[in-house]
Amino acid sequence: MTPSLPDDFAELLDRPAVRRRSWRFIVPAVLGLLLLVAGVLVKQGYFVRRAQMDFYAPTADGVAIGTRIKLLGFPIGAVSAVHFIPASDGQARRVKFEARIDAEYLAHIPSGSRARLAQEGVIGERIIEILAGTDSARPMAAGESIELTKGGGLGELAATVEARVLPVADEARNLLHALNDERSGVRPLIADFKAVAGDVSASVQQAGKLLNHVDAKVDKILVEGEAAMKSVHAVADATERRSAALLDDAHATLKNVRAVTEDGAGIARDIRGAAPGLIAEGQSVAADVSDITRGAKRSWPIRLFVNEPATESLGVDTGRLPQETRETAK
Amino acid sequence: MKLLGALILAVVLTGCAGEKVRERPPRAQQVIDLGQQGQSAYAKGDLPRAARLFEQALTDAMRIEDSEGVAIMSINLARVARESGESARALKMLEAVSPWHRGNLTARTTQEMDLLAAVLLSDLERRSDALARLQALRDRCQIVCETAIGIDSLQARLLLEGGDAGNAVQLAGAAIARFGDHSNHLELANLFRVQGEAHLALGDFQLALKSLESALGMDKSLGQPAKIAQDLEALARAALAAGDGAAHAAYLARLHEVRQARAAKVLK
Repeated sequence: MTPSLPDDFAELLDRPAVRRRSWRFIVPAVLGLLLLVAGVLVKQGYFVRRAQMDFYAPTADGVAIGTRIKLLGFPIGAVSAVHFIPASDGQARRVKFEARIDAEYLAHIPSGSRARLAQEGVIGERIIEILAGTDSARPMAAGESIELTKGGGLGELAATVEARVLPVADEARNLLHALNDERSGVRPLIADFKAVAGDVSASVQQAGKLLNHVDAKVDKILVEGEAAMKSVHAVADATERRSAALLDDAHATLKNVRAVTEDGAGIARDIRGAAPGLIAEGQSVAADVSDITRGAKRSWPIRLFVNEPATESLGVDTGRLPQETRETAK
Repeated sequence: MKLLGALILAVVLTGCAGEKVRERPPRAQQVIDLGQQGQSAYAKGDLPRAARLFEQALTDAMRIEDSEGVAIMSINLARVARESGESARALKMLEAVSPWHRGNLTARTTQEMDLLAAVLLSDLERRSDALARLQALRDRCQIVCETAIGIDSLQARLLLEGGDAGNAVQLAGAAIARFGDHSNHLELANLFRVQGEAHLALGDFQLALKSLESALGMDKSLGQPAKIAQDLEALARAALAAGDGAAHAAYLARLHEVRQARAAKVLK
């Protein structure tokens, strides 16, 4: 049942003076409402001129309708559609992402720019980041396309580390194994080298003794010296031959070691480059969570139910110490 | 609908009119955070870690002249030192709190410092000094005395250790009657233990067993292995004195098990 107004009240509203006065309230209210709607539409970007831009990638992983597009950290648009592109003309199957870009920013995207799928923070949302090319190139036009590459997330970093560290670790293990393996010939060569060095030392000592007696037994010394020198020569020849082989092996070993070290250094550089960012992002996320929690705790009415932390003592225990502790305490 | 609207409006206005939350400076917050971490380590029995955290909090509190923080962290460090068998060092820690800081403390913290100092003096067998400190504390603690149960408990123990079991029983009994519903169960258990041992000294074995069982029940509910061992040891003595060989053996077996577990660092 529709409620009816009292007769006198309806009559009052029907008077021309009341009608005129009512409009004085209704018109500003409607105007205010329209202004509010207009403001919301402007804020939502309904009056911004948009241009289409396409991105191509091998897979659709990580991208969805609504994925934001950023240029130098500025949000300039979002993905509006995703299409599967069948293989044709030697081109493999691909995925096309249509995006609506704020046309104002097209002038700042030179042709030849690239795009990559990135992540905002460690647990942030995925975004498409446009990596602007050289400024001398012409600006991109509406409808042009950009190749999209993937990378940047923790998963990718872990996969890179796994793919690059494991072979290096294997190589290092094999190298150590070879150095310790008697069959590889490295250890016998080192033993031979020691023996040869010992021979040389003995021969040098022998030559020294001979020189000390040079005044007394010249003839004999000459004979013995000749024999000794022959011995020294023989030892030196043997040393040269064996050292050459040893040096070749050592050289090869060093090359391996250097290669391993360079690989390791390269990976370390890569990780060093990526790690501070990840740590900083992790700290930032932790700080954000802490701020949110602190903010929530301080907001009414939650704060009524949360005790504000304060410095608290452990209190005092007046009980006797246990026997073993008591003896130490004295 | 009007009622609902008015209700919502009232709730929102109440919230807006509420007291503004005071933002703590980061360093002051740091003292609180470190103190809480130290308490957590202490509760888990990790005394070295607790000591490190309390020391750090003490340093931070001294830097910002947070007197309450300085005193509380000194109390906490002294507790850790005492339980590590270093009562003399613990006493020095308390005495190191400057008179200026002492002048800015709440009544409760001042009382706790004085009570702990008396406990440490008793550990060091300076009984007369401990009693004097306790009497001074009792004199100051007339109107609001949050450590009253601790004062009675320590005094009863000192009386017992001084050979005055009769007065110890009376004081402990009166304190239990007065603080029976007190939330400080640790001190209530201490009172029951002193009462039980005093009954034992007076030859009232059944009363001793009853009081000591009460102490054991409380200590078990608090999860205090060292105290449980003390209760079982006293119960074994009481059972033996009462002529109950089987109960004596049973208490000793339980005591042995607890001690073995404590020695194995399974319990604190």
